[in-house]
Amino acid sequence: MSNWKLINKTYIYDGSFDGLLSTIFKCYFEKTLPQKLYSKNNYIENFLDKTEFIKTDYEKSKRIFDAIPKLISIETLKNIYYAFLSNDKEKDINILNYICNGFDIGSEINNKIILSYVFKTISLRKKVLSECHKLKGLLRFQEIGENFCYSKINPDNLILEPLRTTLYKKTS
Amino acid sequence: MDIFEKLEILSDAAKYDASCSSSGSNRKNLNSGIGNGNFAGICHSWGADGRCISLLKILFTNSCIYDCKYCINRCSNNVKRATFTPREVADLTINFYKRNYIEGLFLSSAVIKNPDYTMERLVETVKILRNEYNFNGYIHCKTIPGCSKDLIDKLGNLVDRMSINIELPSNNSLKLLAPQKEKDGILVPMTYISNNIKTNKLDKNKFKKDFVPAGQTTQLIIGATPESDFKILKLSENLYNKLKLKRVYYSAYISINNDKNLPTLESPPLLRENRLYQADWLLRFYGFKVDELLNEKNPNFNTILDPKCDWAIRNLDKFPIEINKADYYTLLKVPGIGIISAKKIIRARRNNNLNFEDLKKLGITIKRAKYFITCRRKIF
Repeated sequence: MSNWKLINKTYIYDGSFDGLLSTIFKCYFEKTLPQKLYSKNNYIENFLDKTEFIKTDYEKSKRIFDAIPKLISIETLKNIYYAFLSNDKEKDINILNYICNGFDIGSEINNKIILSYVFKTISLRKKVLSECHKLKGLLRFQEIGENFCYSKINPDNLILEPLRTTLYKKTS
Repeated sequence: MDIFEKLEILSDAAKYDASCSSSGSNRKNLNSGIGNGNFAGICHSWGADGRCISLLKILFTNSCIYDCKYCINRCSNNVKRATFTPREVADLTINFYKRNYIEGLFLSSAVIKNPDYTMERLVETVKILRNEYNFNGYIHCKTIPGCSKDLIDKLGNLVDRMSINIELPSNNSLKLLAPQKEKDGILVPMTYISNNIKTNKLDKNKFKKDFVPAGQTTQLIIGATPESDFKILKLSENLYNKLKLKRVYYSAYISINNDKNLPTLESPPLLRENRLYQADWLLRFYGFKVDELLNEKNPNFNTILDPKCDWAIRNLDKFPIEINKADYYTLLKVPGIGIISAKKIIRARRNNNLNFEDLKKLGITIKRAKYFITCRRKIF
């Protein structure tokens, strides 16, 4: 972490996973870390912050997406993906620190759970997966027509995507 | 009698079977069938009594030829009787499964006519599910004591988990309360299944199909006979070590029938059941032996302290333990540190020397553990 420069800025991205990876790309190549990072929807305006909006670039995000399994580990990629799906407000800056640090020291980062941002990211993943696990069992479907099943849920985290595969296998 | 009435009678009759959970089975979705078994286990939803209801748990029939004294379905009891057909059970399972009510099937049965006839019905049910409906979900099936080996082979190739209930932990109790059952009738098929699982695992290429991939389990009734905790746990330890059982379930005896050989209990011995489960976990995951926990002089568990804490207090000379140096199994012996915490500690201390603050940060509760550990040679 010694060769990284901390800058007094607040980065804002559009709230997509690609947006987050684009932010990581920018930070990694400029070797700078912002003080705060928020998605567009979570940010509450504050006139003391020097804000900068990061544009989503799919090419850049793809490069980071491919680089994480190579330089760190596939486990890390899973960690940040599931942590990203949580509704925690501080998740973005924790993920950014986790990945940027990870590029420096490699897969050993996953063992450094004593570092608060690593621990928080891993516990967020656990939170998301446990909610997903609960809903896999507790979801009840009603038949509302031929070949149509319907169910209403109100989850805390964005778990529709991990849920999809299980339910697809069940009904197909 | 319509199918819903049958369902009501037979799912109610199955509630005394405790052994329903899955683990260790990972069945893939094959042949464009529906569903897949899940390695992580099935218990998602919980009944009012704390037991999982996520499996469709039913008896195939409750009209039994046996007269076991402790059982609600014994032939001398006056209860409503019903019997499913194999197709009815298969249809019910598929319909519940598609609506996500259940994750799998737990099929048990009373004995009609003779053990072999009953087993044939069960095999037929599972065959319809697996071959006709292409159901790849989890199926747990009871084996009827005293059935032929041929039928065990057939059933074993279709289901994920099999179980034979021992029910009473000694031969004498068995003679007293279930005179028509024999110890050999239970242990011989158990040994047979366990040997089959072993040979199947050794030579996977030859068999191509898994034989009972989730292993076998059994159930013991606690409190109906005078056996001590020590004797019961010794039996469990032997079952785990020799027959490689996945789990032994303990079910507190509930007084339903009146008989001169049965004790009359006001309430089921639930605390004893809990203590036995705690000790069972210590045997399987924590590296404890029965002789460490109990002995002939004090054959029953402490009602105030849990078994691990009780052991620690009897062996205070082994403490305190240094968190940064102790190996995995020594860490597990500390009261308040479980498997997850011990693994976390081992992972974290590769990079850092841990102190009490760090333990708190890792989310390890040290409320009880602090009296038994040191961090960097300091006590709390």
